[in-house]
Amino acid sequence: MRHQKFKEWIPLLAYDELDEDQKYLLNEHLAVCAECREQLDELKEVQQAAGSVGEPSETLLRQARRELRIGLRHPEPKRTGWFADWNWSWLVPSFRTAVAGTLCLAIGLAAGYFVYRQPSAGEGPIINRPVAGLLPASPGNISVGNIRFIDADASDGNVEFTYEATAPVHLRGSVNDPLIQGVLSEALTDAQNPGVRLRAASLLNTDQLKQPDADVKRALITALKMDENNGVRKQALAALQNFPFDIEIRDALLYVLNNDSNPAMRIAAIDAVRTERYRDPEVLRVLEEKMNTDGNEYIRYRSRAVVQEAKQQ
Amino acid sequence: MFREQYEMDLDERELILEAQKGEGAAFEELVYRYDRKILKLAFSYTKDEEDAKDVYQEVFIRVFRALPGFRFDSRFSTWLYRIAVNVCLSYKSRAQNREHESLDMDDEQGSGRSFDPVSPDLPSDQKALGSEISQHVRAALEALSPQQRLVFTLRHYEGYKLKEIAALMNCAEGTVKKYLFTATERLRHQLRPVFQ
Repeated sequence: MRHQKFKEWIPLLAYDELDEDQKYLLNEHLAVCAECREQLDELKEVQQAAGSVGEPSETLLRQARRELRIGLRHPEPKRTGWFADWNWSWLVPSFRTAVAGTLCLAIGLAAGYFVYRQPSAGEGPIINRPVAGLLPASPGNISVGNIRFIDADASDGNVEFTYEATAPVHLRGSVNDPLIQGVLSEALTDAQNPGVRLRAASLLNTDQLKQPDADVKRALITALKMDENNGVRKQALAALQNFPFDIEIRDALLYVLNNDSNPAMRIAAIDAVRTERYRDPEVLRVLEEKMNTDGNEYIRYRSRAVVQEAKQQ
Repeated sequence: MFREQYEMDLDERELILEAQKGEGAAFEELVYRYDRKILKLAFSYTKDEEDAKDVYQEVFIRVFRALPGFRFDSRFSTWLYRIAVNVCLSYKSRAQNREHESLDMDDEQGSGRSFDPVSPDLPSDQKALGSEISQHVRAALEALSPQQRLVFTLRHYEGYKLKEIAALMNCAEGTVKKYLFTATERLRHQLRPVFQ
């Protein structure tokens, strides 16, 4: 067999992709070919240097899940827009600075125009319940952006376009108001600022909440399982304890107990499921598992104590 | 064993059918079953947490959009990983577009990315540093073509056999072998100065 063919087999040997006959033939060739031996030795060094990739961290996974949820709600993938896909290579390097400068200037002028042509927004309209919707019907106090023309031909007297409108809204009312609950739920799961998410979770963690809505519960469960901020997860867990205990809440708490990297969260989850230890075999099963497997000594002790309490009843 | 597998498949089939009807909780459960592996693959391929999150998100958005058309002709996991493989390959293309903005370079074997060969006159004490070597490995991987890099990632980091990789990439096993050979040869040559 030719030397070149054996060279092609060397990566296959290194990655255990040869059958026994091929291995035998290649090893015979390696015994007499210094070049191939060197190739194999260097490839082993490459394999060692390339190393391995561990499991993704819980924080990264949680961030990815949260961003996915937002991405699914606003399904425009981050890098698939025309800007990212556009081939900019036609811009000769010497013109790039000039073009970039002109673009910045144009954006600045447009931003200045939109900011200063508006009257002072003040605190925005105060909406007292009940209201039909959040957005004012007239565009007087609305900032308009991202206009997309569907029918830009006005020759027939009609045009059609979509745009995004933002307006300052001042909302005041009961935490039991479905609109307020809806806005807080959105803030809890979608706000980029962890401080806003934390405040939203805190506001939903109140015994004044008499009419807990299914969407609020879902938002709290999502925050409990996915939020990267410990404080938000802690508040979400506390808020969920104001809801009637059900399978969804149980599963979320057991998820925390099994997956949250923060021991304080796992302890809080044990405390939250503790009252259900007599009734729910699944709770007992997970606690029995945790009392033997959790990496944290106190959590093992706590789980064991709750299991023993349950068995003594 | 087979019974467990059968029950798992049945359970997964129910989940898929529910998700196809628009049941969000079922889709979420499907995501949770596989997303660690997808994120790991994305990170193995991109070697960057932000890029890995982008790839992860695009995989599941494509899955979400295509799920109503899933007809159980293959296992769900196989279908999902095929999507992931395609996203990895197209991710590279988008990165290539971005780099055209700032790079003027010759493209070797279609990789489209720049690679500064490792300087042979690096101080020997630096060569010994693991992080330094990791940077060189990463740069060498980035210099591969998307297909070469993906085959190396799937075989080296993810442990797939070449036959499985061929099925995921929808190409012949011989083609995958060729990609692996070219990838390892290029890595070997580009990292040689680091090892000397």
